Amino acid sequence: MLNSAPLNTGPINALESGEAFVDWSASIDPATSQTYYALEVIADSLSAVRIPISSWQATIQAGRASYAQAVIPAAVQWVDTIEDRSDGEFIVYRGVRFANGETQESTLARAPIQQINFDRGPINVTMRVSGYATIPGSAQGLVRTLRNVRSQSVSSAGTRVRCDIDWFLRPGHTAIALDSEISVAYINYYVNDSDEYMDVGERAS
Amino acid sequence: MGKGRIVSGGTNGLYTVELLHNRDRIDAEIEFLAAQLSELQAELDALNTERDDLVAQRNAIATDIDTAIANAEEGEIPGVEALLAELAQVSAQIQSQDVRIALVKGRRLESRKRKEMLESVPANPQQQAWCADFTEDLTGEVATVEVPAEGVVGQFLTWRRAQIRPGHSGRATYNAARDGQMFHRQGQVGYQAYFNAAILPGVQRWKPQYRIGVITSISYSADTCSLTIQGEDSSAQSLIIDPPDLQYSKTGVPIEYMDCNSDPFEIGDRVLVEFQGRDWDQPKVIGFESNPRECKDDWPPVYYILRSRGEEIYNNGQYDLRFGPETGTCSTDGGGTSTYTGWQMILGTKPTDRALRRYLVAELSTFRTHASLSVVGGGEYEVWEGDQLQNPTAKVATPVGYDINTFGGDSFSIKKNIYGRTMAGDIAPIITGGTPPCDDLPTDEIWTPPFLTATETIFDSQDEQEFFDFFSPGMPATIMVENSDEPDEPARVYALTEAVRIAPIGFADETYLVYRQQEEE
Repeated sequence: MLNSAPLNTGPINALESGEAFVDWSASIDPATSQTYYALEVIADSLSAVRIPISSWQATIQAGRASYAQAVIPAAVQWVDTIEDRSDGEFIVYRGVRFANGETQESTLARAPIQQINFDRGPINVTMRVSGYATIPGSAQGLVRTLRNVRSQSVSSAGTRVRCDIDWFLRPGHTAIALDSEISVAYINYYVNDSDEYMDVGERAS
Repeated sequence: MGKGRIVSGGTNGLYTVELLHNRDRIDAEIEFLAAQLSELQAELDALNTERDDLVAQRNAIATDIDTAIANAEEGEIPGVEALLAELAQVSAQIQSQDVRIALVKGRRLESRKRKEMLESVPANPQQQAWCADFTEDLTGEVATVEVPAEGVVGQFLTWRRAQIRPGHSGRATYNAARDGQMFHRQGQVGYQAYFNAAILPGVQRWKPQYRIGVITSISYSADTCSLTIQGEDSSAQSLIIDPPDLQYSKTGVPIEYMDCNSDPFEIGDRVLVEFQGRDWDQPKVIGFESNPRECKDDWPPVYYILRSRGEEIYNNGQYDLRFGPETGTCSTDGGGTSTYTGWQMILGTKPTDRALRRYLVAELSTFRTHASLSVVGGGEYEVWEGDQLQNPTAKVATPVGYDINTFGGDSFSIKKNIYGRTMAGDIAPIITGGTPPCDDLPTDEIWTPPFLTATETIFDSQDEQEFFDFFSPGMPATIMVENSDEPDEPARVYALTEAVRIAPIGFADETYLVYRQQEEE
């Protein structure tokens, strides 16, 4: 499914209400599969290019600007590729590669390339691409149970839960965390080479 | 806490204003980036030239190697090792040059995207904004008020609330230290944006500058009020930013408004509250949230002078506005003059008590169009209005709606408590004005009844029970004209003609005056 529209999901900026939903993530066996993340850079007239990333993070939320950022290590070799597509968009996929070689992907974040930071160390050159986007409302009614909840905090601003990244949860959906039910207002994704999690929060009305 | 420029408007305090974001740094950075891009391009051109030279060198070396190989005798290629070493060195230089070129390209790309982002910062928005006070002639740059200390939500230009500071006495003049200036987050560098976002709810919670309040009571004499503070949430995680200990209410809040302070405010008004020193404990009302009221000194809008002769005149309102008696001069047919005595109803010196003043102004306004008068003795009266106390300028034709009760002849009255409140301290004595023809004045015998200030009960009825059955405190009650040309003569029972209830402020008890007019015999 590389470079094609993943099953059952769409980009966070293009979720359509009423779409059919099949939770294929339930069939993922962590012992025989491999989860990965991929950055894809696209532009209208050029081919899409997948670029390795060392980390990414994003905040997606309804009614406010969503934000995504990815870090490209050893970026020298990708400068021309990205420069050519710098007026395009970047997409962060989460994928799973099964034992038989097949893959399944879900788009977690997508944004225009609005900002590029070129950071150079003694031996490393990294590039951060980031951008803001306005996401449409998600299909209502989807309820997801959050897995491996690490923490749950409650304040006047609402409940916030840190847990494993969910393949399908989007703002507007309902999340079940421990014994709480959250109307998801925003999701923060944090992924690097040693950890990956998301914060799911609601906003007090 | 912002800056704006008046574009147009001003009627009733409503303007179209351009909200001036601080674009100085943005413009300066764009200029810097443009220069940097030019420098980077020059650097890149130079690097590419150098690379071209290196490639040419490499190609020449390769050609030399090829030539050396072609010319070589079996088993030996003279000089090839040196050429190969040179080729490796130049190739390495080309690789290094490619890295340098990539780095410059990366910096160029970084600068270009940054420049594009800055250039995409939205232009200053224009919107309608109320001035907090009734100032209609503001121009140029003004100080703006954003509640609660933030102008936009996220990157979207959704203004939560923007006003213009009160304009009276130059109070809307922009002051950078006090007002600051909005700086679009998109134009900030990372640490700026982070710092400002991090402290936003804290500033809103602990360093309030403006909020909207609702007045719950007013002391016009002290120019203070009690108010509740409109609850606000921060755009940062919807945090509550009102202090719990405030409980959204404050008492004894001073009102500073144009040159009339509390005068134009009413209970229930939504007002702009400024916190002195950004301290929750030092609120001050400085204007309205919208539709500011004019500081209109209605005192007196016009003078109403009620002249009568031979009667006592009562205003049937809450306060007795009659004063007198007036002794005036009238002109006779023979060219001489005579004197007459009458009563005048007038508002004179501005009462110091604002509540009384406000009431009396309203009373006068009603009097002008719907005066409810009672003239004792069946006499005549005139209503004049003038532009000053001593100058009744025009006789007012009795307008429709005047409710005049004249009583010719005997009547009887029941008085429960007594109507009347002297206002000698507040209201000036009557004046005289004009010299009307004597023939125009009533010719009845002049009679000046006592001013009713004492408590007394007078009732003389042939059917008392019937009267009381009819008149009860709950009913719309009284009209107050007591009339008798023969005060010593016992009153007789007459048909009740009208009753109006009087429930004056400041009176210990309700006051009822009930009159019955003599029936035609």
